[in-house]
Amino acid sequence: MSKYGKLSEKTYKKVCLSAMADQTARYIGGGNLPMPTVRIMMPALAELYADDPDLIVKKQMRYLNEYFNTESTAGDLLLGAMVAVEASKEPNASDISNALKISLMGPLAGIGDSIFKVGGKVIFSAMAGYMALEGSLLGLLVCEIWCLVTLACKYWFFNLGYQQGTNFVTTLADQLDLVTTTIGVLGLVVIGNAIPSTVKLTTKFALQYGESVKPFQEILDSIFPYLLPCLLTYALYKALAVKGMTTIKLVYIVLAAGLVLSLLGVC
Amino acid sequence: MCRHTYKGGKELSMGVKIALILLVQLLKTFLGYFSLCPGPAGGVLLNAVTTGAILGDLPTGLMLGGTYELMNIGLNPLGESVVPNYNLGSIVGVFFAITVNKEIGTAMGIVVATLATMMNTFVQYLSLPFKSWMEKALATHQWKKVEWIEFLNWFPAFIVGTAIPVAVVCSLGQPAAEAIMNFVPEWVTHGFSVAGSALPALGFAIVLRSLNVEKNIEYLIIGFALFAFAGVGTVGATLFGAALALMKFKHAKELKAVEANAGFGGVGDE
Repeated sequence: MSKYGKLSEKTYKKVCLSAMADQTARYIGGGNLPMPTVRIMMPALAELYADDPDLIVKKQMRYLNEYFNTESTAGDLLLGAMVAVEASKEPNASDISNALKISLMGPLAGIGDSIFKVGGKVIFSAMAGYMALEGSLLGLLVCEIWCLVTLACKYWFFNLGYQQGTNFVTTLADQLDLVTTTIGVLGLVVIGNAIPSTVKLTTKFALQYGESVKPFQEILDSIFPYLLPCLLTYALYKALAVKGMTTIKLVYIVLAAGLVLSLLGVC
Repeated sequence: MCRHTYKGGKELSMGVKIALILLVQLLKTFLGYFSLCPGPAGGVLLNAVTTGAILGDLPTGLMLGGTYELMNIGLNPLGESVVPNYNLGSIVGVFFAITVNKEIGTAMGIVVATLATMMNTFVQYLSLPFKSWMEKALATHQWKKVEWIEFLNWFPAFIVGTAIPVAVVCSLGQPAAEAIMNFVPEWVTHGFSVAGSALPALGFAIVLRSLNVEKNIEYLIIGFALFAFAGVGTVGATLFGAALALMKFKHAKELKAVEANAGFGGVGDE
C-alpha cells in the first residue's frame, strides 16, 4: 500500500490537481458544485472500483444530484476528506462521505468566505484600486501573488483533508474560526483607510455673505476632514438594512442622486 | 505608450481590437479557472488595464479600472444575491472612455454592469444540458468524458455572459454613444461621474455589514485616522491592520486556551 492509502500515487496526484481547479468558476454557470465533485471523484472511483462500474455510476449519480455548496478554497479540506472516505472502500463509504459533506459545507463556507472571498478581496481590491488611481500597476501584481497563495492553500488543504481524515477537518474548522474573527480586523482597518482616500465626494456649493463667497467645502473640512465620504458610507450602510432593499436598487438610487445633485449644482 | 508602437506600422482596425479584447478575456477566464490570474480581487482592474492597453491608452484603463475595482469591493455573488457585474462593466467602460470620452465611458460602465444582472438567470440555465450529458456519459461508463464535460462547462457561460455582450455593445454602441454625447446636456454626464465617485462607498458599506463593524468600530476609526490625519496610504494601513489582527489573534488564542483549561479543571473538581 502506498502512502496514499488504497489509491495509487499517480491517481492521487491527478485527483489533487483536479480539486485545485476553481469551483467558483462554476458560479457563472449556476452555483452548481455537484458537477466539479463528480469530476474530482472520477479518477479515484474509476481506480478503486474498476471491477464494478455499476457501483461507480450509483455513487456518482448521488454526488451529481445531491445539493452541495461551499467556498472553493476551504472546501478542498472537505473534498480531501471525502475522497479519503471513498478510498477506504467501506461498504457504506458514500453514506459517510455525503453525511460529512452536509455537516461541514456550511461551517467551511463561512470560514472560506470570510478569509478568501470577503477578507482577501477587501484587502487586495482596496490595494489594487487605490494604487491604480495613483497610476501604478503594482496593486495588480499583489493580486496575482494572492491568487498563487490561494492556489497553494488549495493544494495544502486537499492534502490535509485527505491524509488527516475527518476528525482533523472538524477540529481544524473549529480553529480556523479564530482566523475568521481576526481577519475582519485587518479588513476594517483597510476599509477605514479606503473611505477617505478613494471616495471623492466634494460639494461645489458656496455660501454668500454679502460681497464675499465662501465655499461650503472649506467649512466642512474645518469641521471634520472627509465628512461627506463618511456620511455617504454611513447612509448607504443604513440603507442596506431597509427591508426589500437590494444592491442593484441602491446603485440606481446613487445614480439618480448623482444626476439630481449635478443638476442643482450642489456637487 | 502603446500608441507609439502602432504609429510606425498599420493601425489595428477596431474589429481586430475588439477580437483581441475577447481573446484576453478567454485567456483570463481559462487561467482564472485554475486560480492563476486575478479573479475576485483585481479581476475588474485587470479587465480595464488589458482593454486600455489594447486600445493604446493604459493610463485611462488604470484610472477607470481603479474606480470600478473599488466599486466592486463589497460585491460578492454569495448565495442568491444578485450584484452588478463590473467585470463586464469595466471592459465596456474603458472602451467608451477611450473611443468616445471619459464621462460617457464611466456612465456606460456602470449602466452595463447593472443591466448585465438581467442575464444572470438565463446564464445559469446554460449548465443544465451539461448535467444531462454528464449523466449519459456516466451511464455508458465513459469516465474520461465525464471529466471533460465538467471542464468545458464554463465555455457557454463565457460566450453568452461575456463575449456576446462585449462584442455587441462595443461594435454597435459607438455611434449610439456619440449621438447620446451630442444631445445629452453637460449636467447629465457630470452627474454620472459624481455617482461614479460615490459608488465605491456602496461597496464599502456592504463590506462593513459583513465584517460586523458595529462590534469592532475602533478598527475602522484607526484606518480612517491613518489616512485623514497622517496621510498613510493603503499599504501602510494594511501593515497596521495586520499587526492589530495578529495582536487580536494571539489574544483570542490565549483566551481559548484559558477557557479550555478552566473546562478541564471543572471536570476534575467533580
